[in-house]
Amino acid sequence: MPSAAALTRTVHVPSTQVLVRALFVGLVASALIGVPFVLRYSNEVKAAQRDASIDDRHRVEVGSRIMAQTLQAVVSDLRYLSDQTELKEALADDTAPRRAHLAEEHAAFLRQKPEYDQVRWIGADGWEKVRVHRAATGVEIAPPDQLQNKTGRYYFDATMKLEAGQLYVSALDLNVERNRVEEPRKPTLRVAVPLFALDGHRAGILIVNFLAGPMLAELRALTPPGGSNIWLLNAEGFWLLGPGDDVEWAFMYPDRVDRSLAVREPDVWRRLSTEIQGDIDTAIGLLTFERFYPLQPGGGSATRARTLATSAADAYWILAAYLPRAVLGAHARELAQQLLVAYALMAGLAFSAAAGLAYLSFRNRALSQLVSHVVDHVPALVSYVDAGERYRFTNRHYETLFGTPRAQLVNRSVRDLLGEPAYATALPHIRTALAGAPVSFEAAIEYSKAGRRDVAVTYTPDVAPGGRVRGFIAVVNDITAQKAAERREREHMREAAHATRLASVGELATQIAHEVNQPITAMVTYCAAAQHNVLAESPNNTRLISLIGAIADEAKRVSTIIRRLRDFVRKGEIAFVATDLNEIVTDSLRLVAGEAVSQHVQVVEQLATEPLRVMADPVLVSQAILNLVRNAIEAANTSPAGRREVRVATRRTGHAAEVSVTDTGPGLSPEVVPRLFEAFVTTKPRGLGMGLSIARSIIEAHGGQLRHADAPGGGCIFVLTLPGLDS
Amino acid sequence: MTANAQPVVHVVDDDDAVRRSLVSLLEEVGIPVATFPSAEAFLQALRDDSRGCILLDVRMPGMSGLQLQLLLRERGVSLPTIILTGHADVPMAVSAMSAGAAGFVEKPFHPQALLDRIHDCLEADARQAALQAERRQAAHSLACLSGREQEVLRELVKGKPSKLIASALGISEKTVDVHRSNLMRKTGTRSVAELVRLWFLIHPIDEQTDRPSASRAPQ
Repeated sequence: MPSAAALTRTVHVPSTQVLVRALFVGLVASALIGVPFVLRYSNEVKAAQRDASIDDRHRVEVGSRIMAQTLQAVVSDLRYLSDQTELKEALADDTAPRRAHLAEEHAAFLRQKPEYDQVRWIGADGWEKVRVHRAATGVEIAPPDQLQNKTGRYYFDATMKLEAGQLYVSALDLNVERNRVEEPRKPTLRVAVPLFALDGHRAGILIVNFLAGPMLAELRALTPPGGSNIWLLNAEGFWLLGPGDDVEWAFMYPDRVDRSLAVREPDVWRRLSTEIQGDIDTAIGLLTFERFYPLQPGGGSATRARTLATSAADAYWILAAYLPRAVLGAHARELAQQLLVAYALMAGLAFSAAAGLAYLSFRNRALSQLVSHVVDHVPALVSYVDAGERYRFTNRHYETLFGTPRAQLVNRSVRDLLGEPAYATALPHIRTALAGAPVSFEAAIEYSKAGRRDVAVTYTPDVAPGGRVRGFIAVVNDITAQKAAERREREHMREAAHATRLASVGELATQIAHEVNQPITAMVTYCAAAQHNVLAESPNNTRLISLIGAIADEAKRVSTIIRRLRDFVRKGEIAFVATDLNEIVTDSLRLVAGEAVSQHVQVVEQLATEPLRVMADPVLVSQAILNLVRNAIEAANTSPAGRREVRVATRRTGHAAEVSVTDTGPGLSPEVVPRLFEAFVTTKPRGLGMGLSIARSIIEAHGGQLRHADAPGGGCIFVLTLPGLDS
Repeated sequence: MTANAQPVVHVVDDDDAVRRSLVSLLEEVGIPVATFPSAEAFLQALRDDSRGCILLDVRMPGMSGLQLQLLLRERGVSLPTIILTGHADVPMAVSAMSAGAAGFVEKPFHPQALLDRIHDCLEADARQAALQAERRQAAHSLACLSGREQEVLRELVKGKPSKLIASALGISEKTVDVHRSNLMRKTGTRSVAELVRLWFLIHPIDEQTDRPSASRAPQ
């Protein structure tokens, strides 16, 4: 609605309050929005960790399998070598050609298997009997003069103690040449079996040096760059495969003996060294590990049962996947960054929404205040009535008009508040409004509490978009004062018109009086002349003289009547005298006696027996009575003979004296009655319409009343009352 | 100036019936009457020696009664006037009376009362006419006196004895007496008192500078 838009511009919205509200709501909303983000973050981080540890366990398993397979191959190669015919022949008969033959076999073996560095047969006395090794130029068979005695070496001693079928696996370390670690590093594993002659005595050992570098490289390749690292630790906690060259194989260097996990992270190491497998979350990161026993055939994984006894100490390695905390943190940071951006957007939206809502809320409140202020000060009753005819809202004027606090007006039914008569008046309009059509009407409504009021009412239906009528807005203007003013105005207009008419009547009366006076003057003068004449000619004819005098007197009476009427009409002059109303009536009736006879109307006189003393102008009152009686005679004249009667009665009623004139005429038509006493209104073809008007003016000027009523038999009754003098 | 014109009641009224009825009445009682239907007609017929009185209707077409009354007064016509009115009201009565009306009668009047007023007016007019005649006679007598006789008369009127008159005029006392007897003979008076009355008839008292004003209205 364009009008509403204009209204919103006029209201003041308190910006500080809007700001405070927006901040508060925005903060709460942001906090609530933050919860899923935090949950998501922690879930993501946990899931990432879980995924990492699952991957790592898988890596460790794969690594473990790689190692097991590798060792299996080594063992099977060794068993194959120990089962060679050439070896058995040499064992049976240890001759130089046989040794050379065996060395050739071993050299061929080495040439085919690059993962081996050396194959040696060491005799029970500790002397090397055959040694084939890999040199820079290729596979070399050591000449007899270069064969060494290995008595006292840990692998020889340990293997010599083994039963047939048992294996020796050395610790995995770096190859040492001339007491120096060979560079580049050559991780080496020595695997040996004891040899027995046919007669069953010990014939030394067969030992191979297995190059573990490719296997370690394979293990290292299991981990993607930037992810977990694969660690291989020995039982002492040194890295064989680890975080860097400088810490790997530290036990091989006397100056690096502190570079072990056991030294660096004793807590982590405690768990690694005491548990067979697992994944642990440590201060340095996530570790997934498994203990690997190399001497177990078919794998050697810690999960498999040990079926083979080992000669060496039950040494083990620990294969671990290490996911550094830094990697995890980087991942989490990235996630956190993404989430933070999203959250910032959401929070911004929340603040904007909160600001908008706060503004709307305060504006609505201001609008609502403005509207109720306006509605309260509209000079009308304004209310909202729902479809159940109950007040939902009423403005201040209802309180004043019905004397009921507004709170008690809400939910009151219209019928209850207005009262039965007023409700009956309004009901058809209420129905129209509730049918969806706007209504306006004016009515005089009788309110139960506020009394009778003239109201102008408008009902505007409130129609829902679907067409259902939810209720209507009632605007009720109290136009009682306005109506009263209109009535007064009409009254004034009528009075003014009456005064105007009376003034013109006055002019007319003056004119008539003057015109009539002239012939009367002449008449009176002629009479005087006649008297003088009679007096001169026949002075004894006194009868004639008095008759002439009577004529003159009557002529003067006419003049008097006219003058009095004129004075009354023009100036309201009344010559009050104390008189008997009965006498006035009698005098008046005497004057119309002739008229009654000529019109064949019987005039019945019913006078009160007591005198009815009044203060009155007999001439004027007589004129009024004459008027009534003459009208009555004329009316009665139209009736059939035998029903032509005019009844004139007088009586005392309380303090007043009353004259009633009843005729047997046809009565008055209803249209004439309301204007009966207005001047210039007449039913007579030749009437002026002043008789009744003047008659009533005369009676009212005496403080009396002149009323009309229908006579029981048809015809009229005029009742004239004057204030009594005796009261 | 032919004196002693017949006294007549002049009726000025526009109403024919009123005029005729008044003629009937006045003829019946033997009073001469002349009627005029308008003020203008009356003015045309009016003569300096007209005598009697005027019955004047106030309300007439053309010149009204009051206007005519004022006009007559301006002209010095001294006929007594009775105003006839159809509707008497106080302001009109006041203006009529202040214009010198002798009476005021409301129509329809009582004929006897009107006749009485007419008789009063005619008598007054007759007295006025007699006084006029006497004045004319006095003036005539005084006009016959010689210069010296008039001087003596003027002193006599002042009430001076002959001796004082003689010294005032520078003549002898005896001469004064001779003049006085001549005066009386010429004027036909028999006493000084009569002589003085004669003098005052034509020299009204309010013309005397040393005497207070007195009523000049005829008795």
